[in-house]
Amino acid sequence: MVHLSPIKPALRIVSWAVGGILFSPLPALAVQAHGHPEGLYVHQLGHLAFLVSMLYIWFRTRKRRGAGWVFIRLAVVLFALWNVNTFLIHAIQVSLSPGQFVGRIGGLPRYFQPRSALEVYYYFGKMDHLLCVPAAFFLAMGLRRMGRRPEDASHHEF
Amino acid sequence: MNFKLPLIYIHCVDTIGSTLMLILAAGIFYESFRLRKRSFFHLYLFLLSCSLGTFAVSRASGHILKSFLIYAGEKALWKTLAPLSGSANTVIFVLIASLSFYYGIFRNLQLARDRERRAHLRAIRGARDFLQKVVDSLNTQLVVIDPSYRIVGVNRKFLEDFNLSMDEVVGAYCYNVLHRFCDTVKNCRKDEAEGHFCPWKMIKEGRNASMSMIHRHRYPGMEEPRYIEISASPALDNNGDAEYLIETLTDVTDKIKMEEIERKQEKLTGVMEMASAVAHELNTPMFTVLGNAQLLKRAFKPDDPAQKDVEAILRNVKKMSRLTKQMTQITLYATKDYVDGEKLVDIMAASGSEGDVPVQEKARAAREERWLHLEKMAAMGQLTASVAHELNNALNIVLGYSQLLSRGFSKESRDYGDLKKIEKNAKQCQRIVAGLLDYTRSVAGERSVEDVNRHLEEVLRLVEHRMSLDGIEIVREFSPGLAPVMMDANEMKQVYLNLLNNAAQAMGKNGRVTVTTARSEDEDGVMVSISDTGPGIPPEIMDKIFAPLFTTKEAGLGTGLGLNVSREIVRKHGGTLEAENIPEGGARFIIRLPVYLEKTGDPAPEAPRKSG
Repeated sequence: MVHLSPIKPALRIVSWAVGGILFSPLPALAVQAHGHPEGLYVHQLGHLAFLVSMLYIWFRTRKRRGAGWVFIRLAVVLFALWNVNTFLIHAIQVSLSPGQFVGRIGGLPRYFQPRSALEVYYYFGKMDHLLCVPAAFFLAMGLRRMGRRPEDASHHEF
Repeated sequence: MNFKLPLIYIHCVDTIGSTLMLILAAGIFYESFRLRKRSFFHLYLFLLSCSLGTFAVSRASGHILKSFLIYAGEKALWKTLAPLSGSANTVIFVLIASLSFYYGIFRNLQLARDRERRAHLRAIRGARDFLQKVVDSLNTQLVVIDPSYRIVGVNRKFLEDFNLSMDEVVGAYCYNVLHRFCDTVKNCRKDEAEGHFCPWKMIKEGRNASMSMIHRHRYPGMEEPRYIEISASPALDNNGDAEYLIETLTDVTDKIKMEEIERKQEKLTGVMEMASAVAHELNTPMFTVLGNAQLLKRAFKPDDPAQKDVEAILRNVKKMSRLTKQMTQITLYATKDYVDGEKLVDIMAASGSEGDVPVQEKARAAREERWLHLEKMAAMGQLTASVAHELNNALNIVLGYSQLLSRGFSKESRDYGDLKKIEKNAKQCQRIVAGLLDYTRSVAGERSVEDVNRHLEEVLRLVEHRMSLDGIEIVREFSPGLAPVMMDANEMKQVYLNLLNNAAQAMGKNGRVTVTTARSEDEDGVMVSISDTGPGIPPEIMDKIFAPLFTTKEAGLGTGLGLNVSREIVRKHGGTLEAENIPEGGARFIIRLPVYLEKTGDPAPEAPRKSG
C-alpha cells in the first residue's frame, strides 16, 4: 500500500485557486477606477495635511525668541488660516451652480449672485491672496532677519 | 438673496496676488539658500522654505495661466490643464506636510552636533585654561604679538607689573604698551638708534631665529630708567612663517646694577691682588734705595747741609717700606678666611642641621656670603689704592731729593753714582706703583657703546709722532662700518697703548706697525690686530708673556704688568687677547671683542648695556 503525504492535496487546491484567479479576471479585481470627486477629496486632504503641518511647526517653535522668529510664526499662522479658508472655499464651490456667475468681462464672469450667507463668505474667501501673500512676505522677512544674525549665535535654535 | 457681487475685485486680487507671490517666492528661495549651511536647523528651514516657495510658484503660475488662457479664449485648454495644476499643488501640500514632520529628526541631529561642539569647546577651554595657568605662573612677563604689532595675549605678571587690565592690553599696539615713548612703529626707528631693535621687524626682515636683547625704558613717573631684557621667539604657522611673536620681558635693572657694583668690586679686588705682587716686586729696588741712602748718610758729615736731604730720603724710604708692609698685611687680611660661594653651598648641604633649608635659601646665603666677601675685598682694594697713592708721594719725594742732591756732585764721584742708583731704583719703584695706580684709576670707568676705529685712531695720533722719530711707520687697515662694541673706552685705549708701546720697544729703531680692524671670523665680534716687524716672540716664552710681572725688557724699562693687565681688561669686556708670531717676521697681538648689536647668543660683556 502506498502512503500519500497530507501536504500534496493542499498544494493541489492552492494551485487550482491561483490558476483560476489569474486566468479568469473580473474588472473589480484590477486597477480601481476613480470617480470625479476623488481628486477634490485628495486636494482637500492635502489642505488638511498642510494645515496640520503648519499648526505643528507653530506648536514646536512657539517658545522660540530671537530675530526672525516672530515673522516666521506669523507666516505659519497665516498659512494655516489660508488652508482653512481654502478648504472651505473648495467645499462651498461644489454646491454652486454656473448660473450664479452672470455677465462676462474678457471671458471671465462679471458678477456672482449668492444664495446664502455661506456663499457670501465664498465671495470674500475667494480673495485668499490677502492671506497667502502676507504669509509669504513674513516668511521671507523672517528668513532675512535670521540671516543677519552672527553665524555662531544660531547653533542652538531648536 | 437678490444681489450681485462684482467679481472684478476677486480677479484683481488674484492677478496682483499671484504676481506678488512669484516675487516673494524668489525672496524666500534667496534668503533660505543663504542660511542652509549654518546648522541642521537652518537646513531644515531651507528645505521647508523651498517647498513653501515652490507652492507659491506653482499656485501663482497656475492662477496667472488660468487668467491668461481664459482671457485669450482658450477656456478648453485651461479645463485640460486645471486638474494638472491642482494636482501639482496637492503634491506640494503633501511635501510640505511631510517635511514639517521631519522637525524632530533635524532637531536630534542638531542636538547631537551641539553636544559634540560643546565637548570640543570644553576641551579647547580646558587646554586654554591650562596654558593660561602655566603662563600665569611664570615669574616673568609674557606677551604675544601678531604681525600687525597688536597684542593678542599677556600673562598675569605682565598685567600686574604694568598695572593694566586685560581689556586695556589685548588689541593694543605693542609699542604703545611696551615702549610708551614711541606712539607709532615709525617712531620706533628713532629708538633703534639707541639700540632698541624691534624683534618683529627683524623677523620680518628674514630672521626667524629667537633673540634676546636689553631695552632701556624710561617709564612715566620713574626717574631712573629700567633695563628690560626681552627674549623673543616667533611662533610659526604650517608654512614656517612667523604667525605670532612671543616675548618674555624681565626687569633686570637690579641685576644689572648689582653686576655693575660687583664689577667695580671685582676690580678693586684686582687692585688688591695686584698690590700683593707689586709689594713683592718693590722690595728689591726699595732696599737698593735704602742701602744707597744709608751709604750716603755715612759719607756726609753731620753738619753737612746735604745731610738733611739724605735724611729726608731715608725717612721717605722707610715710609715706603712701612707702606709696602701695610699693603702685604692688607692682602693677607683680605685673603684670610675666604670662603667661596659655591663651596659654602656644599658645606651647608653637607651639614645635617641645614637639611631642611631649601636649595634657594642655600644659594641666597651663598650669594650673600660672596657679596660680603666682595665687599671686604673691595674695601681692602680701596685701602690698597690709598696706600699706593701715599707710596707714590713718598717716591716722588725720594726722587726729588736724589735729583737735587746729584746736581752738587761731579759725575765721576762715588756719591753721584750712589745718588743715580737711588734715582734709577726709585724710578723703577715709580713705574711699578704707576701700573697699580693706573689700574686703580680705571676702576671708576663707565662702559658705553663705542666705535673701535675711532678710539684706535685717537691712540695712534698720540703715539704716531714719537714713533716717527724712531723711524717707525704706522699702517692703518681699518674696516669701515664696524659694529659698535660696549666698552670702557679708557681701559681699551690703555690696552691699545700697551700693545703699541710693546711693538715699538720690540722693534727699537725703524720698522712698521700695522693696525688692522675687521669683523671677526664668526661674525659676532670685532677683531683688532696690532702687528710689528720686530724679532717676534721667542717660542719658549710664548706661554709666559701674559703672566703678571713677566718681562723681557731691561731692568727699569718694564714692570711686566702691561700685557697681564691688558688681557684682563679685554677678558672683562667678554673678549680675548692672543699673541702669535708672523711667519715673515714680527709679532701680532689680536684682540677679539663681542659686538654690541648681535645679542643672539653672543657672550655678554659683564657690564650693563648702556642704551640697549
